[in-house]
Amino acid sequence: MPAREILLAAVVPALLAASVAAQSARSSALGADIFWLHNREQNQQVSPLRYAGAGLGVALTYSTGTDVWRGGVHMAFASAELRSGISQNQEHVGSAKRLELSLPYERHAFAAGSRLAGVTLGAQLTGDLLYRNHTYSTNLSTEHFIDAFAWLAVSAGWQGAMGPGWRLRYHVALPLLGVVWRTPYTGAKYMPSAQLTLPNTLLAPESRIALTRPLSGALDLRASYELRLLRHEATWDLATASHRIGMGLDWHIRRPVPTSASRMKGDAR
Amino acid sequence: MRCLPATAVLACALLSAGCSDGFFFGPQASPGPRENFEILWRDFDQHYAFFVDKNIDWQAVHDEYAPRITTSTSAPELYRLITEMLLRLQDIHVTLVAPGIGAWSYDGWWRNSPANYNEQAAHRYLRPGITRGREGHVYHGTTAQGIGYIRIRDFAGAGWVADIDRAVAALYDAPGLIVDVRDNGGGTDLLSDPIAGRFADRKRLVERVRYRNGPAHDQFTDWMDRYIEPAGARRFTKPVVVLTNRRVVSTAEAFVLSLRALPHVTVVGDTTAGGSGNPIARELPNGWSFRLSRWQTVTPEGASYEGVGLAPDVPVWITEAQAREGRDTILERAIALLTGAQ
Repeated sequence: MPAREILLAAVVPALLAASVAAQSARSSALGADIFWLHNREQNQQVSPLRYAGAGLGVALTYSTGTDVWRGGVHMAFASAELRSGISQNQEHVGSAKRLELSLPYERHAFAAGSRLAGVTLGAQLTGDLLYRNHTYSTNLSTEHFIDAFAWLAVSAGWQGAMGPGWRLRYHVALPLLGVVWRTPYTGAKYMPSAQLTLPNTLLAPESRIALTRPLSGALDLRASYELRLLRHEATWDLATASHRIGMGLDWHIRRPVPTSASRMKGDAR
Repeated sequence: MRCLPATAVLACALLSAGCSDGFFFGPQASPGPRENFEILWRDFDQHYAFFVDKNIDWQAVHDEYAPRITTSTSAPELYRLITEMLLRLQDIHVTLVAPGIGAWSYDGWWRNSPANYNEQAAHRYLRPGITRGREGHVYHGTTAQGIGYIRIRDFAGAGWVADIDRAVAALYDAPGLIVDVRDNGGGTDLLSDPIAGRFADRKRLVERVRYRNGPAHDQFTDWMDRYIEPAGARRFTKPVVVLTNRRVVSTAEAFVLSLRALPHVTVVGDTTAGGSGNPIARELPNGWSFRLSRWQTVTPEGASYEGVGLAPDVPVWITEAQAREGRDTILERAIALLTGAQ
């Protein structure tokens, strides 16, 4: 039997069994956040200068899981107006918009009751679509740039109580392997095929810390800080740093019956 | 695990610090004259599309000019040296804008050519009652002989194709139509393509383009075909004469290229400017902006018109004496062609 079939035969039933066993403690939540952000960006294809500016964003999250695992979908849209030291009213200015999609999956790495019970390890698929426009001069047309990144990251998290009702969750992800579509050499009108990229050219760590507090039986209030870095080294280097401070709500659409083993609730990120 | 929250906060702080300027972004470009010159030279080196076609050794140009620029070179002197260097390219789409100092563009393509257009002179051939478009880009009327006349000043802005539709509808019954694009400085193909489509009988290949696509001067994408396609509720497919002169530039030349692919269109006047390269804009740390050509365009037969222009089917110049008399002999020839007088 080929190795792949052996692997599937061994792993799939085990995963199914674990999944079925965990059904009884399954919980799910929908989350919505609004965040203020400050971006810094240096895109050599746009300018030799560094641009920065503030903006707003929204995020939607669906998280689900059991005592053993946690997964979900996270979508965010962020927009910021960017300026540099040479910016004037309508010249040397740009705007950046970013659409993000993440599919995290994490499992508890340590036994319940251990000191590390709140630690999770896993993986995350992330896709980022970056749009940037730039007006160099009112005499010149506005240029448009589109870059897309998709990557598989390893992720880790920790969640624990921070006093009565308060919970703190920390999440970090580091990319392992990615696929990149950058605005090509001479502009957005001609899109190239995707390029496989490795961590030595794509650096995209993200970290998020969130503090949640129950508002009612099914609703949690959340405050968060998130940092998303992205650096891609190619013919034209691109580096962005986005700091985000947000507030949001989690609506628990399905909660597990509390047990001594229950140790995960709230958002998946 | 009391230390974990603190560890999380510390990790966030470290990551925040990690994206500080020096570590994550690398050094910031400085606004000094040498660095500005090098950035501009490098942008041309990596983007410009015509080094090979124009037989320009860009490295040699760098080696000639770089030693003349020092840390104490003044902004006006830097401007003078850079524009002198860019003049070597003889490219309509190459410009430099230096706030407070000047705005430079290559003008050799029209400087020694006759104007071949005078708006007031052209109006003398039209019946009273010119209809102007809403945004001033276009107007139309009828010649004394009943030939339709559409004047397109430029292809700038957006959303005024409906003015062309109104003109075509108004002149639909005319036996022939003159489309006057003389002195048209171009704009965007988002306008010129659909406007050309108002005269198309069917889809036809009009040009082929390719983008610079790599650091080597001969690295390009594959050629991409561009077509003219019928557009608009009403299309004028009776005889059309397009009027051109040396100041028909860039997108306006693409428009002429589109129309001359049609069997019912004749081009009359002077050769166009010869600006075939679609430009991109760039900027320098000192706040200057510049443009350069990033693509090449050729005719369906594969002929480049960069720096050469598109020759008319019927070449006509307005002599100085004719201009003094207020005559527009290019328009006269168009009327004669459409009325069968010639």
